[in-house]
Amino acid sequence: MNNLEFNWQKNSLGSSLFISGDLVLNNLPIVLPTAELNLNSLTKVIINCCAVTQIDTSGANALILAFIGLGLSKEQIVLEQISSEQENIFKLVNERSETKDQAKTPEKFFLYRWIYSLGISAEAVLKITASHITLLGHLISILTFYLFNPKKIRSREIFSQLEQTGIQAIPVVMLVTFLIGIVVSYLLAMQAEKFGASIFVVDGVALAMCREMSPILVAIILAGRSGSAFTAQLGAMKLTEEIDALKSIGLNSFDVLIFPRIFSLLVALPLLVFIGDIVGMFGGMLVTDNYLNLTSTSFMQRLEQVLTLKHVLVGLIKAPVFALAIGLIACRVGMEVEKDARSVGLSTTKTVVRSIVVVILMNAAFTVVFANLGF
Amino acid sequence: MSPILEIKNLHTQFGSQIVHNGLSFTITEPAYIALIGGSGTGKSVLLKQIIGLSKPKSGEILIFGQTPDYTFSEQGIQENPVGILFQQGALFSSLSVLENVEAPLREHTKLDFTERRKVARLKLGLAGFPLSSENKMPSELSGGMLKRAALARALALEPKLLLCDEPASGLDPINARAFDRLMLTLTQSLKITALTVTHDLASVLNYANRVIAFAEGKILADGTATELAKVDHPWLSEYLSSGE
Repeated sequence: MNNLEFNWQKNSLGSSLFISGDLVLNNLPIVLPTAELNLNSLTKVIINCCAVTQIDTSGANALILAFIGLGLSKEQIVLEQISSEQENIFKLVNERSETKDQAKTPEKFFLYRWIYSLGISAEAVLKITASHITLLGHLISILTFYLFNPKKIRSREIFSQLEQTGIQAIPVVMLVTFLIGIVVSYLLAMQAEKFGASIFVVDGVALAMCREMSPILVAIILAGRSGSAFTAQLGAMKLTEEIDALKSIGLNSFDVLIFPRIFSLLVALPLLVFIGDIVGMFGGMLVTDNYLNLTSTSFMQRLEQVLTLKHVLVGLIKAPVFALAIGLIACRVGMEVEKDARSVGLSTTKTVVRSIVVVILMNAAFTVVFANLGF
Repeated sequence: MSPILEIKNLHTQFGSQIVHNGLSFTITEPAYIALIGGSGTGKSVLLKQIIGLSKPKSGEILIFGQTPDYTFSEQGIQENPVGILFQQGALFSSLSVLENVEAPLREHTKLDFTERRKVARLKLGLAGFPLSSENKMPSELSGGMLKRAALARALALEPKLLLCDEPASGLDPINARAFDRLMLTLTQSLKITALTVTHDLASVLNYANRVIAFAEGKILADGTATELAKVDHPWLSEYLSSGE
């Protein structure tokens, strides 16, 4: 690789720029010696290329742009003693390169940008809400349709989804609620022991698991497990135009893809919450048995007194609402995947984050409402 | 001067399937070269071997007389970079078109942001990509634009050897011919060699300076399209007459 050098030489015709070395990408950026130049009287520049060993398009482009930066036009640059091969490169570059500077959009005032982005976000929220309501409407209308035409239910899709979202989630739900039951029980036991109120640990564990912990844990597990799967499946199907293919043979993508998923989630989530209730309380019972010397028999007796049906129902009523929220979010985001691979990943993340946040928000609202209603 | 590309007695085998069985050819003159052959004759495999993505069982590949260094261990641009244009474009989907073209420059040159942009814009111009769309994401581009953007990225490091895997696939005939003309301009003006795997009969017959036909793991014929028409081989004659 030869170094690139520039020299101004004066002769009878004026001054010309002698270039020697490689005018190539690796020698960029180029620095023109402009000190000896009188820029104002510059109408034409002669470039002598007799000592140039190599030229590539980037080098030629950089040289032309350097002179254009000095206020010359392409026509005012004259090349001398250049081989035809090198001249061809200059010609092509001259033809194809964009010498005009890209017009810069003027920077807006910051307050303007804030208000603008606030408006954009507000519009997005409105659109999301509207599309959720549309999806919910679809769901209700198809449910009533199936109520009167039960033979048209696509039971195969529904059962296959139920297996994936419900049955296959049982082990992880049991593990998580069991461990949380143990943790809650320990925490209560350590406090209650101080007051000699060991028996109240049963109240605490039973109410915590049934009313709050189990519904929210199961909802979060399913948001991560099934919600993300729904989005990724629908998104991938959209990428490969499978959804368009479904439409082309007269199938409604909502009936075939979205309804079985949301419906299976609606059925599976309450059932899983019930399993979670039992396993969580079982975990609590193990702790009281070992730590507080409260036998499982007395645990059961106390449980019968404190855990009325009301408390179990409070947890089970929340479950389908969470299921609906997760299902709607997952399917809507999945159907809005754009046509590149990156967007499937982004959408899946969006589904998980949004549904977990929504589930926790709704749970808080439920708790306040139920407390005020006296449940 | 050593030849641009030299393939010496190449053997490739996948399991029991023999792909290349003593393949040899040499490219000495910069030209637009078409590589044709039935499916499964190892054309795309050869391109992958030239850039080092896959290794032949035996044989030698020399680029400008040297065994290429595939490790990218050295800083800066390799002495003889090879550009490749993948069939689907293979633009990085998280980067805009301009950033895609800049990506190799950012890794292998010391140019600053503005200088890189200048070079990247030039390459887009050379590939005939409209600069008004330079900030679009690859997913927003049509097939023809995608190929042009991918070509600009392939040209970024000033390669003297450009490999193209079916550039005409997915393009309408008008765009495919425009691409052929572009390749001819580039090969003639910049003295680039474009080794192109293609099934497109029109570009083979009317545009390619040289056609290399593969069959049974060897070179079946090598020369201009008119010379190939004289070779008596069932696949080749059927291929060349398939447009009639």
